[in-house]
Amino acid sequence: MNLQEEILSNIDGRTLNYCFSCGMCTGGCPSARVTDSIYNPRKILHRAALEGRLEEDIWLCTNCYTCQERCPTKTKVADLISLMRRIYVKEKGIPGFIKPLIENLGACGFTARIGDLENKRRERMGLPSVKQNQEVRRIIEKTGGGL
Amino acid sequence: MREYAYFIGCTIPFRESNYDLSTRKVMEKLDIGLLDMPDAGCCGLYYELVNEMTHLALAARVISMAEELKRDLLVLCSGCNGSLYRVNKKLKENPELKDRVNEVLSEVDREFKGTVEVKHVIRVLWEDVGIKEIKKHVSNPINIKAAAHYGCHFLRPSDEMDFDDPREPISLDRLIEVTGAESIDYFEKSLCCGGYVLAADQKAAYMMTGTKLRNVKKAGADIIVTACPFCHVMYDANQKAVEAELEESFGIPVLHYPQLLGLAMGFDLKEMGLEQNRVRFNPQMFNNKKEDE
Amino acid sequence: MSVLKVFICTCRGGITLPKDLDFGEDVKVRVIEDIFFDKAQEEIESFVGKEKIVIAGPSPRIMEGFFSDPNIAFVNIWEQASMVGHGPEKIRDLIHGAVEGLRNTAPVEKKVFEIKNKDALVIGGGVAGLEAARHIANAGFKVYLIEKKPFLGGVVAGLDRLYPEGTPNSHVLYPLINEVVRNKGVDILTNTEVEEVDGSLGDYRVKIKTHGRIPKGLMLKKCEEVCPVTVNDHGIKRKAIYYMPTYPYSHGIDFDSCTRCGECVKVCEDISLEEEEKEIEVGAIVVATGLKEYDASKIIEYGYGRYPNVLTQWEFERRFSNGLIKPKSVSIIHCAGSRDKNHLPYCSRVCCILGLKEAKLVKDTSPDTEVYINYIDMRSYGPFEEFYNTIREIYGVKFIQGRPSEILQDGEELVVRAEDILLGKQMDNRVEYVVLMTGFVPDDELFHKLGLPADGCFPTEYVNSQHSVDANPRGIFIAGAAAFPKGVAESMIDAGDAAQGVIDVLDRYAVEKKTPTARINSSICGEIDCRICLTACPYGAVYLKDEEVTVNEELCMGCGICTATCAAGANQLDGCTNNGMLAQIAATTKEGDVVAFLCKWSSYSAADKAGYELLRYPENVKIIRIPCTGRVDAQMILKAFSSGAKGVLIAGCPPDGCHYFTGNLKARKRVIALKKLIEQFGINPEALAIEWIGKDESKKFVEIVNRLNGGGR
Repeated sequence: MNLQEEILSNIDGRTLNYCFSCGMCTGGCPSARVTDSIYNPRKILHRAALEGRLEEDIWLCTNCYTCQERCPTKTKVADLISLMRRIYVKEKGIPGFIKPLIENLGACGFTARIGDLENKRRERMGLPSVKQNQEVRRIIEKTGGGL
Repeated sequence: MREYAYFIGCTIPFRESNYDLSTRKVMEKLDIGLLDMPDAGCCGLYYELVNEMTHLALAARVISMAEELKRDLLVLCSGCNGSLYRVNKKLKENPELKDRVNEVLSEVDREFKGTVEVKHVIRVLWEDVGIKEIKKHVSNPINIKAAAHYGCHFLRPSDEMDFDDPREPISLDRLIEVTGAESIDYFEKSLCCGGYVLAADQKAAYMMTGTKLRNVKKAGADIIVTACPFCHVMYDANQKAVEAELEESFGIPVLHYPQLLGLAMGFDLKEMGLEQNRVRFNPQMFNNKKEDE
Repeated sequence: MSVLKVFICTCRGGITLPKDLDFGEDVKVRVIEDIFFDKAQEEIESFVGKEKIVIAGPSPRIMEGFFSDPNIAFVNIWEQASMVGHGPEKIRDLIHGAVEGLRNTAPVEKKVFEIKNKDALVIGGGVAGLEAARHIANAGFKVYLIEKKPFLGGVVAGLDRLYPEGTPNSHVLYPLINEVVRNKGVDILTNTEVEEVDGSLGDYRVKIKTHGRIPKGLMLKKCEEVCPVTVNDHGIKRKAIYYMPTYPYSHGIDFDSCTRCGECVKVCEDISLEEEEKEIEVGAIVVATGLKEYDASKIIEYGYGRYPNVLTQWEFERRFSNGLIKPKSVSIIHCAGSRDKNHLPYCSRVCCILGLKEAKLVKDTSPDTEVYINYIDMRSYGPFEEFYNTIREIYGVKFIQGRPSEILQDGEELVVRAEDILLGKQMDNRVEYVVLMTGFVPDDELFHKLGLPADGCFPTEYVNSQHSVDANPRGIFIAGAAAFPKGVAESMIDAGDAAQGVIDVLDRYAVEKKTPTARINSSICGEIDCRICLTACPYGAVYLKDEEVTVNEELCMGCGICTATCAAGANQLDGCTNNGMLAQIAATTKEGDVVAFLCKWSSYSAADKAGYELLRYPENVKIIRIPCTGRVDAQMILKAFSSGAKGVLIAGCPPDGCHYFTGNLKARKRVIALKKLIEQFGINPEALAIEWIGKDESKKFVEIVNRLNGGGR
């Protein structure tokens, strides 16, 4: 299955071809602004739909949904880019900067190592402790989430 | 007494426990019960970018815990809201997907039934409690200029969230005003904090954070008010780093909304956990009372 | 009409008729050699309108060109029988079916609209309304020309220049208004609106209301001085009572803003604030209410209403041409709220050219002003492409392809934030003024009063080829931009066309409706009152009148879709009633037949074509002609099976090609539901089929009936 087909077959990817390239998404995108439009959602969708390619830039989306809110064709821009990131992971593996988060999840069920130090702090504030768990790990393993 | 299952996610216990503290105190005053879920762990937000089934299962796991408590789920983090709210909706509307998720959850002896709602704390205060009720408890109005930062994930995507007006929201502004503060207008009010891309590209993230800090300062705000611990981390804990990156200085304190509300309800700075807030401020700034109220 | 005449054409002996031509005592059969022979036609004509007639011969597609009456049933024994090698027994079955069908169908009286009133009403005093009024009055008919505003001239009167050359509006308006004013046959009523419309073609009774009058004036302006209400009229400040140099050449009151305080009456005896209601009787109506702008404040990202320098197109034009603003820089935003599923999903066509006109206007007066145009596509259609060239080549306007995401205010400047797609970069364009080229919306309120479909979209008859000769005579004509956004030249041509339609109608004593009408038996309907048929009609012809389900005879196209939706049998289509259809099916169908319901627009023609091509298909295929697959209901299908059919085919136009828009899709839904039901009766669901067969797809038709014939129950 090529990239277009893969995207269209997913519940979040059905609107890929709605886009008519008006540029309103990139026009309001904060990531485009701070990267001088090197991150460009319109281009990303166009590239995926016409060239069937994904590139590294998809990791710069802030998931703020400004694009999806304003899109006149109701293309789900942000959801499509999230989907593309999942597809990227399937083909090229989990990017380096996410690995630590996953490791932590596997270790304690949180995205950060939360343990005695944090609980002591909470105790001092009069707050109940939080518990580590292994359920998160088991779910990640069962679903092939990279552990 | 209204009760909610209470979910605080990862960022709060890790470094923003004062959001938790202030919320508990405020909710107690408002006669709202919060049922702890100490082993809830993570909502699975980041897995949305890695693996669909893992994401759905992790989120469904947290929701199932609230279902066991037979209470709607109150969340403090916008990110958690974005994850949990949408997964809740998706699974309720797609029974086939729900079955697949439950197959995974059976591994940890849990089941998602689709019997509860997920609500962000601002939504609970706005819809379930209401301004009128909150006003009754404001004994100590704070005369201050506040810049409301709505963030991204309890308003959008609006066709799913169906809360407030995504383009001209008023909920957080009014909630700020009920404390006596003025919720000011500022350039690019709907701008994202950049937190989501912090790990991928720190510079880009800091530039977004810095843009808002700059705009807020220019508009003359005394404080920024947030409704998400990650937004708070970006504006507060990372403010110094942002200042260094952009070579500008801002010096604007950042409060979690319940902290501001709590102060207006008469709690003191320590009770609201304000010594944990990183950006320094003059404690007197919260003592200015409005002349006529 | 109790006698039934059956005329059977043998096509010069080419058709072998059955020996037994006895269809009953009350049926008189006449065999003729050649139906195209004049004498034969004369003979048949003598009975048309007096008796029920069955004409058996060539395809009704051809025969309808010669005979037209709702009480004629056509039987195809040539292309669909003889030419495909089928014999006399089938021919007898087909004719028998038609006879039984007609026998059980109540005689239909052709609907005739008597043109009782010879006057015309033109709603709207803009260029289209004036042009229409002028033509109709010149043809000798009295015209009531009503205009909601205090002045004639509509949108054009409020503008300065018209695209593309920048013609000053006076070039068009003054001669037009003068000719209308001079014509004694036109009764001009300004400050007047339509309240209610009743009646139908040829006999409309319209209640109109005049809000007040200033029949003549000396223009001393005392009234303006004392008026307490100031209004922002598209950027120009004026009082509620104001003057415009157009008919009625006196001051006029804007009753949308007037508080009726009476101060003006005190200083001038010519002013009357009295409301007058009147009922007028007209034979035809022209709707020429012109362009209505979309509310720009709904586009929240663009800050209209919040930022003072964000203006709509006409606000900007009026302020600029009056010298009230002298921008250093302007950004013209095209498609503001258009082509947008969050606002107006359609394109309003003229705004691209209007935007170019605004740009030219600015540059002509103030060449140093920087002008930017943000667009998605530049739709300068037809001759306007040259205009687009001019704007680029001579005027140096800067074009940025990219729809702005938002407009922000930063200090004194407006920030237009958009991606410049051709550069691939998000950019902030800082300008002094922003002009929003918003789209236009239809006048739903008025359409609703007139009983026309009012669903937020412009009437589709202007884009659908269904708006053709097939359309019934109408009494209401929509002219100019009210029908679909157009420019001045196009509006005026349109208005002339509408005027001709009106003159056509008023010129006659009566006009015949071409298509049959669906009738509602209100006592049966009232018992159940399910109202499902209200949404079934693709034309909005079925509506509630005083809480009773009624069919608008003018709009009804006779497709039968609503008839098929009625489970109670309260809704019957003239000439195609349930009783008639069921009788026809029962009489035509023999044990083991395949019954094919073919729609007259496509699949029936395919079966004819099979005849011309001398293809072969089984003799036990019995074809029944229907106006639309949407007419076929469960009763008819079950009747076919219970009469012995081993297969039933419903075939019509392809999914996006139904002549009545939605009929084929409704039929499909019904058949799919029915398939589940017939299984319970022991009938193989595969024996019931719904297919799309285009008019040329003769081979497909043959294939399908063969398949159904091969299968068993």
